[in-house]
Amino acid sequence: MAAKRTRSKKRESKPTGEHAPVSNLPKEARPSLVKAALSKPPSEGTNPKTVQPRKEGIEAVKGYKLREVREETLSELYAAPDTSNLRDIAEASFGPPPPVAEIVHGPDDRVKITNTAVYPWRVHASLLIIARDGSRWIGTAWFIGPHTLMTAGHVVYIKNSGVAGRDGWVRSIDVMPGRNGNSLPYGTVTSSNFRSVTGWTNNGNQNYDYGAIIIPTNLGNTTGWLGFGVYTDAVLLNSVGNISGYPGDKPTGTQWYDAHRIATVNSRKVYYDIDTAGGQSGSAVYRITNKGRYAFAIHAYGGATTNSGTRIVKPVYDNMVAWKA
Amino acid sequence: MITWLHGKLRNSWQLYIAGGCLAVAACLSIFLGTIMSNKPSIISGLVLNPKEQPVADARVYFVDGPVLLPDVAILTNSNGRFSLTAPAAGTYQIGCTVEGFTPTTVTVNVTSGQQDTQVQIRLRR
Repeated sequence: MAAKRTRSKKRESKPTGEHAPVSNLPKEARPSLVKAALSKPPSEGTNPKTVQPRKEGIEAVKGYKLREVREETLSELYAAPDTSNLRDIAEASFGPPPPVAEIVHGPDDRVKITNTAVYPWRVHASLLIIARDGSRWIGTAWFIGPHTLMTAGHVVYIKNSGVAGRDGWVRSIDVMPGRNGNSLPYGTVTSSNFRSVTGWTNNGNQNYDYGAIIIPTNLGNTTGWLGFGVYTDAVLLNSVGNISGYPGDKPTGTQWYDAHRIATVNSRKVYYDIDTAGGQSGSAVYRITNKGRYAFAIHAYGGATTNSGTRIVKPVYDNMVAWKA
Repeated sequence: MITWLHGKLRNSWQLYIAGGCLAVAACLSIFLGTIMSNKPSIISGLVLNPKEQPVADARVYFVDGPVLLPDVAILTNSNGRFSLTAPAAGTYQIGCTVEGFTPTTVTVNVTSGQQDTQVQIRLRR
């Protein structure tokens, strides 16, 4: 499906407060805001050989079967913590553990993606992150435009680490779209141009844990990108969330996919039982509608009880539109 | 304390100033105490192969913890070392994966106020 331009007469307002955007670049180098609607369409890039999704809102992956959980049991299984009043990550971390329900994630449902050079798998990128202190990390990001990949805030800006010299904008990130082990079908692009918001960079608040990587090439035109949008609670609670990324517990640089119904949402976050592991921070959480893939959250946190991502609400959407280049 | 202060400070305004200073000092103490207790603990580790040699580029990540944790993984440096931030006291499970070895999980207990917790991860084939 070719990329479509969405016209809008409404001028987007620049997010303020904790969604106020920040960059590691000087002011004059930052892009200006652009017009947007409340969803942006995906692009399948050049010669996509797109894998068509299944009707039930999941990707067609050989051997993958959606583990169904009855809707009435979901509310018993999950109780999302009310994080709307959290001021910063320290409060969230050093207070009593959040009141998440004790649930078992169950069997590992992830399946390995082997055809990573085709759409949609190639929009997901394996990341090698060099932090300020020289420590090296792995993460995940996904294209939203020719030059822009979305990821978690803590992938581009490390906050409250407690390690001398580590906090702050990371030095650089190697972006490897569609990586499959040692195979790099779209090569590696190195970036040191990042975005996030003050709610994360100043306050370390998990509710604002999102950011972007701007690459110097227009590789996204080749790989394509995911659409993204703002959705109501009702829509999300009736959606299957899809995540594909680069977990550290699997062979190096391999892409793994899983999907499940969304468990619960609040005004800032989305909670789910989609299996992930360290290295998948920054993955898209997306839904499939009319054969198009639309992100609605940025995966950021994992745990034994539940996984969660930063919800794409209006200010997040506005920043994504402004960062999309 | 107040009686002693009252004896020393004859004018009521002096008493008010002294009381104010004490209140400020108490608040400052609580504030600093909160900051100190909120400093995250660090889990520092070393990954070794069966020959007790350090392993570089091992992927180390949280599997479980007392709070939700960032879903990232750190790579060990050339000396096989890593450091992860433990944002709260409690029990953490740390996973380690390296090609050619069996994936390993270790349990680390971080107590309140503990600044640095050392751990060794020994890999098996």
